[in-house]
Amino acid sequence: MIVGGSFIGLVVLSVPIAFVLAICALIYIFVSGNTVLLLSFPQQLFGGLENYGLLSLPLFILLGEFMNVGGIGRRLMALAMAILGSVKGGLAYVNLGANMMMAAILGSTVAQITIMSRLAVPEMEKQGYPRDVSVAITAAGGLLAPIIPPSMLFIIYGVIAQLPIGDLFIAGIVPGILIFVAFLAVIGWLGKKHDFPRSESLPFRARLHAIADALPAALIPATIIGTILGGIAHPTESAALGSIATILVGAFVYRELKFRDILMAFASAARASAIVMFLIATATVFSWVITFENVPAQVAAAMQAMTASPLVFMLMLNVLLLLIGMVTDPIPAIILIVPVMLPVATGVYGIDPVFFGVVVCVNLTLGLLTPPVGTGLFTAALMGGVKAERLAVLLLPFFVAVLAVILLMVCFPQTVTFLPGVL
Amino acid sequence: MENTLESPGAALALRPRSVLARLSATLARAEIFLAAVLTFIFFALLLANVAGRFFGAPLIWVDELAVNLMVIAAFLAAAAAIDARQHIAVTLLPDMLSPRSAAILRLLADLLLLVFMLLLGWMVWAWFDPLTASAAESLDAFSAQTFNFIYQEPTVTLGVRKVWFWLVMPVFAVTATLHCLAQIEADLKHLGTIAK
Repeated sequence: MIVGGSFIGLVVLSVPIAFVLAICALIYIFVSGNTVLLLSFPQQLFGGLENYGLLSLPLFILLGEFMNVGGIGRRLMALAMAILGSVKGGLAYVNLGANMMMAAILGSTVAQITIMSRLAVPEMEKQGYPRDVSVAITAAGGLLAPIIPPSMLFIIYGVIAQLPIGDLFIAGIVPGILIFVAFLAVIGWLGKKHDFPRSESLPFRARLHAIADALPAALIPATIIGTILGGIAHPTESAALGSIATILVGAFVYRELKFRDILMAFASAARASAIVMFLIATATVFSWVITFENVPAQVAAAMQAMTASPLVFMLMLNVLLLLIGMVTDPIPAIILIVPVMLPVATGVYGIDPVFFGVVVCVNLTLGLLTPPVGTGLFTAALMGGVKAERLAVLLLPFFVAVLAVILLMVCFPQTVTFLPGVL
Repeated sequence: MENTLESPGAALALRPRSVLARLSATLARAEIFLAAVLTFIFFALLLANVAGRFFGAPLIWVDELAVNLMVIAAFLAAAAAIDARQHIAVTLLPDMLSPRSAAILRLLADLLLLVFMLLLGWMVWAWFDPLTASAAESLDAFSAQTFNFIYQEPTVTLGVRKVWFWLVMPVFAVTATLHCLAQIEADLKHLGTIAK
């Protein structure tokens, strides 16, 4: 009780969540009188990060930093344009297509929105799209980043749930494609509503040129997905290989990545990954406390009293996740929810942990674009110069599309579990 | 969500910054630099391992070293993130409060951080127990006497004692405490300017 109360109190007082977890663990140690645990506290903090799979986190962040400057995003967009040809609302589909390809390189929504806002929004505005709608489409496209492998969220879930990260990556592919298709439908509907301009068909030579120019860039997502799907490299190594491919393509083929950029990328990656990793370190210490207090067993008993059906459990869980997603970002949410809910899901309801993880992560990504707390929403609003409130309204049809996909996954878990079973 | 607000000190950028603030900022830059170098090293190690395996000569010690370097980099940069106020917090409440109440809340949160860092420092001290260890005849005698095996713990494949990597914990405890103090000083100054 004391621990739970201080936990909520500290979060509300805006103490950084990583420190809330560590402080609550200490409070528990003192309250329970197990002060002998204090001696191993620092060792536990260190040990919480000693995980080979976790190495992929800074490496994929590093890859994203290289992408920022390597001129690769622009080529991928040109590629999508060359493939599509003359269609009503063509550029909106191109935006989504480029986002899909970028998602196979990047694992973070915010990183992807940052890059794509600069590339896609000015281009769409030039061709007569309403600015706010362009920003909304770009922000929605960013949701694909943590679902199509590689994915920051799956890495963190995998580390906490002690599951192979490769399996999670593969399980995310079908849901990612479903969301992509649902977004295509939303854009088609928006195109009619706002009368989107028709894209021009490029002459054959220009198309060929764009495709040839983009080929080295397209090799990067192919390397990452290919090595993971083929089981050739561990996701950690595929991140390293993807990074080196990005450096080579950016620096030697497109000549846009400078030596200085490469050095800066290492500093940015170290900075960004440390914030997430410190959170994971303190969460490991905190999960001690949860285990000692037997929180999962208490939650399990409470859930069992409410329902015996896995389907009803998953539906209730999704409502809870939507609410949590609105007030926090996905990474802390995963760190807080998974240690409590995963044992309940697998132990009481016999739910597959990979399926559980994919549903949790897809649901929580929505939180990135919902007010009052949504890093992705505010990034897109800031980059695109649109009010966050307006953007949130425009994003509603995309939310509905994702919710439909979540419902489909929950009702038919095969959509998630099928692919890892085959490969 | 992400606490990307400029530190309160930024508003006072024109005034000369205190010794503590400058020390904290310089230290943060050094921490990020070191963390970046370590990131480069474990990135290169992993690539070397992929290449080594491709040529049929995998290096067994690479994975363990890479993981340990990553942990060290994480703690160094996590300390620097205190200086930059980049640790993720739920800012619903301070966003609703008046500037003055928000400044008081921020001071309170930073004081809590400081208390935690001091406690961590004490725990790290007790764990390394340098006084008892240096008074003992040998490190073996220290372990036998205290049942604290910090100096005996081996690494699996590296052939060095684990304690060399654990040394980042005392470094983290000291530097993070310093960053907390600098933040508290900035919070107080900020409160002072609001009061005027």
